Amino acid sequence: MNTCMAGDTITTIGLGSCVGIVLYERTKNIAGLVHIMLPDSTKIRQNQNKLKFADTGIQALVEELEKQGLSRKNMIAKIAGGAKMFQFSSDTAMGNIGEKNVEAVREVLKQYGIKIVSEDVGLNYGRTIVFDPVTKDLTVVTAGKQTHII
Amino acid sequence: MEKHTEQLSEQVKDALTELGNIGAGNATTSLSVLLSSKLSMSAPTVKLYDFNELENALGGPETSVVGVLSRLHGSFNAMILFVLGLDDARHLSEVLLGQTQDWHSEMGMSAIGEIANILIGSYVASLENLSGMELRYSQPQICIDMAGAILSVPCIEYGMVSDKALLINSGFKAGNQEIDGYIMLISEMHSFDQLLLKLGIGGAGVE
Repeated sequence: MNTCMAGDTITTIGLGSCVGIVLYERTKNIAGLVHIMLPDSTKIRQNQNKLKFADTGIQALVEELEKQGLSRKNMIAKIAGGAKMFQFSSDTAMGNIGEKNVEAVREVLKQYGIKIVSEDVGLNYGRTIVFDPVTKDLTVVTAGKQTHII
Repeated sequence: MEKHTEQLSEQVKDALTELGNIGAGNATTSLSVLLSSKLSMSAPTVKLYDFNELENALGGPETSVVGVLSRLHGSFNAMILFVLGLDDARHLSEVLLGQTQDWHSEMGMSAIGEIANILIGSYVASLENLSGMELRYSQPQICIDMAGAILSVPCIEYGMVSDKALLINSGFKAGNQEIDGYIMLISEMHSFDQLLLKLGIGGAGVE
């Protein structure tokens, strides 16, 4: 998890099935990013690392941004990641974890009343994302494909 | 980073290094026959990684690589990941198919996948011989992408039970073909404990 102010950007590199969530307010130049790996901390015994899960990771980020003066009711989100990197026909008990991560992120943001304004999720490739808190551009870089802004 | 390695006893580290040596040794012997070229193998590195460090195991999370992944099931749950840089994949495809085929083509990719299949098969056979365990492995799947995105797959899988992954990484080099690659055996510590017990070595005593 990380936050940044005007003049700086926040990045997470090589997102595969993980999901990167950027939270900010339209009128403020502060933003935060959390990179989650798994959908639900309550389903797992080894869950001390709060930033690893969609539920506890987003909660931690919302609380951190509130400390920095943002208000939960004005926050909006951009999300990216949740790919399926390898096409196993019979996947593990976890099924398509990328998809489950994205579903969990949507659900948790909905509970907080935070709207997703743009997203680049799913499919089968990794992503590096960079967010600029001034322009609110989330730049998505992929291996061997066109870089785009969402 | 070193502090995590220190949590593995020297005895366990030696045993896993030897396991990697034999597994990857047999695998590269198979490759050497296919390529009619002499292969050299570097000593495997055995390391317990925090998940946020593991993405650096392949020269940085944004480096593009070709990864072929297979899952091991049975008494030992793990993943075997065969990794080549993009230039290495091109060279390998040229050696196998001649210069006319683009390695990105279906033909090129399936050739690389088949090589990986043979390597993974020999690695698994060595593990079975050494441990006496019966192991099954899934049909290997291929993917070209950023190293960080590829390594997030084992991180997520083992993230259910741990914040660390144990990696036995063996590098090899095909002398006159300029092909460098890696074969990695990745799992979490508890699974490796089972394997170590089968090898007659007490649990790794980590965590």
